Amino acid sequence: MKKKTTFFISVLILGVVALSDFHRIRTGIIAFPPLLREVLLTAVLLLQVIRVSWRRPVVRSDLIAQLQGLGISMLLLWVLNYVLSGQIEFEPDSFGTLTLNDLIIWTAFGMLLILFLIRILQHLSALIFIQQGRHTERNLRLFFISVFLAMGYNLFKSDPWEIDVFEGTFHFGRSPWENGMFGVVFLFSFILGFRNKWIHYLKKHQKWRVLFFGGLVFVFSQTYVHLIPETIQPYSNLLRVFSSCVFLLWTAYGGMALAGILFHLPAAGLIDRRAREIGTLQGLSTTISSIFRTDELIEKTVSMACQIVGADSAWIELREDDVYRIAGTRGIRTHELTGMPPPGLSPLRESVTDQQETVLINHLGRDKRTAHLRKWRSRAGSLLAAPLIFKEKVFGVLYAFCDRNFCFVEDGKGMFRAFANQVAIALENANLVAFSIEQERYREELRLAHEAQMRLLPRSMPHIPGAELEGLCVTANDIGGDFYDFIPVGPERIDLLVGDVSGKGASAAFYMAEIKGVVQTLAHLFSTPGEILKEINTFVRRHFEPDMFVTMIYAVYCPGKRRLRFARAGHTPVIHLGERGVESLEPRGLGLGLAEGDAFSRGLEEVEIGLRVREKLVFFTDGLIEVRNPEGEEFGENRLYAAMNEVNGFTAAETVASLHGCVDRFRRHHPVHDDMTLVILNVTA
Amino acid sequence: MSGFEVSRKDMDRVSVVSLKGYLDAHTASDFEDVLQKLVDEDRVRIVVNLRDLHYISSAGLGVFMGFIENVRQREGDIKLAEMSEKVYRVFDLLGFPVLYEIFDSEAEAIQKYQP
Repeated sequence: MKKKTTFFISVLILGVVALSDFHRIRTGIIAFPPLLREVLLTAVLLLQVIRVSWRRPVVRSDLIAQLQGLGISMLLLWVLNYVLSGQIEFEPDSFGTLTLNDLIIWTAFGMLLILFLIRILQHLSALIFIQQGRHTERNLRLFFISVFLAMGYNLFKSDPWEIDVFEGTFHFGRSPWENGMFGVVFLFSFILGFRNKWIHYLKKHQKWRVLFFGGLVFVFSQTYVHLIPETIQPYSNLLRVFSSCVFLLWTAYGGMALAGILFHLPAAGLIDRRAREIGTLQGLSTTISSIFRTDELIEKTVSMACQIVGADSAWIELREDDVYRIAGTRGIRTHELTGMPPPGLSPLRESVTDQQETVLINHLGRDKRTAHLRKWRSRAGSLLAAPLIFKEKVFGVLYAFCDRNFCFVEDGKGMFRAFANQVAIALENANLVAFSIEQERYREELRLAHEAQMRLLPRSMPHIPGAELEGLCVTANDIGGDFYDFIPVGPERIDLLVGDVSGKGASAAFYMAEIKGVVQTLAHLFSTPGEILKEINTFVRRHFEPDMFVTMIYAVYCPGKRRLRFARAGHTPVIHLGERGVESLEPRGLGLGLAEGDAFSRGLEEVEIGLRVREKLVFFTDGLIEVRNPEGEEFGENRLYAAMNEVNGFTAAETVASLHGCVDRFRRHHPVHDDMTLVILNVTA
Repeated sequence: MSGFEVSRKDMDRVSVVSLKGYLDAHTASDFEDVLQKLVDEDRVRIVVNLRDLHYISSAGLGVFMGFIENVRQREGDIKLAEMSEKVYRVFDLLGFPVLYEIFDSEAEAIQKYQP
């Protein structure tokens, strides 16, 4: 049934009863027999009970509102009694003597009583249902059933129940039925009295308030309100029974709740603090985990550490190369910390880092780890130290200091440890973020360097009468040390070079750029590969790191005569694909930068060969033959020679593509570890 | 490419450094550290045994060059021994045999230091 429907039905019934009452006064005619009148009033009560208490209240206002509602309803009931006490004095059978005025007051009293009783029941059941137990709903229903059974029993009795536990006016031994029924009602009131879990949710000051005001209302209700049943009895006997039962529940429940609050009070402060601490810790964790800048994070951490445990000062030490350095302080200056009498915090820190445990020292002077700090800042002091742990390794220590002895409690230690764990995670996160930003920047720089390096390679292949050139350079790590270049020196001379700067990465690329510039100049100053390589060697010796060297093939080609003169400075051989097949050309020669000028020159051999039409020369770097397949085998010179047999008649570009494809098929996506360079000279006419 | 080991064995006048695995840009610093330590200790009569070296990159070759002059100025030397054919090929292409003494056995190399 809907709330409105029950309300209208209730009002309707009450209205009908009131009308019949007025009618009886005026005319003396009894419209409803007293029994039916009582049944009608009981039906109203039943409807209302079902409406407000039978099921768990759907709309839950907050706890304090329920308590206030209960108190106010009870208080209003008291006021009602105060106002009306002595106003109505008549016997049950004195209908005939009632004035109309009396009747109006009487009826209003009855209706208000029903209203307040229902309100009280509503609030009580709402409180009972907070964190309801498995049988709460059943017990409440059984309570109401026993109440209505008692009302049913009393329907046929002219001498009603008197329940008043405080006044002792309950007459034991009336009959076993009555005592039994009272016992059942009392039992369920008592059982329901245990459903007072809401006490836990009250803060300390709220507990005090409820105890004070609730106690006051409770005492008032016991002194005055229990008289109401007697007052209402002439109006309706069953209403009296009902209100007696409600007061019984109120007395049992209210009494037990007040006692419960009383028992909870000593621990209330502690519980409050714990709740506050947990709340703070959660808030702090959220705050610190949203900070990704390490310095900001440290600053926040030390100030929060002070808050959490109520310390005067806090500081954080982070490990760098096995030395602990102060990363941030609050309420204390770094020089004060570094100015501690030796050995300072070392003994304490060792015990924290070795055991990976939080240490609480409540009396600096009495702990052997800190006894030397007795007079450091003040005569007394408490210290908390928690390790910052990531992946089971301590990377820092968080301290909190207080210049009084026994400043921290054992609970605070737990909080401090929990906080330190959060801080450790947050710091690691911040590090990771910084690292990935760094990585991103590094990748971007590498990309730019790679672009720059690729621009240093010839962008287009030179046109030479009777010959064609093609080059390919594949770098392993974005930027590498391989390079090649073509330098047209005159109509009858084109220089070509292939080189490899030792080492990899940015420095190799940087040196390669330098070499390229040097070679461009030298090509126009000297005419033979030997002279040019000797000059480059001198340059490398003078300007490169001692552990760096360059290998290079330098060739001077004369298209008109189809003659090529070249020298090899420590580089991989040149392959000649001619009429007689594949031939490796490997004149003597030291790598550039390995030896001083004279020794270099003595070791260098120049070779001159004549080329025929359709013959090819292949220049490459070691990266090409050191390519490995997933099994770990090297491509090797022999496979390269074999592959060369397949390119007869190919153009220079086709040859490059064919050889590169051959290497790629061999490695089957196995990563390359060195740059690969391939340059083809193909004589066409 | 991974797996590189460098070990050092000190004898009366000579120190033998044995290389194993792949000596490239990533592992070169391990080798460098050992040589630097020898130089710091003034043990400059060095034999490098390359029997178990499978691969050497240009960065690895650079390590020898980075030390040779310093070592020779202190009247020491770096002699190479027992290198495989493949590794010898790399050294040979670069012209190392002109600059470094290379021996078939470690004992021969050590013997060379004896007065």
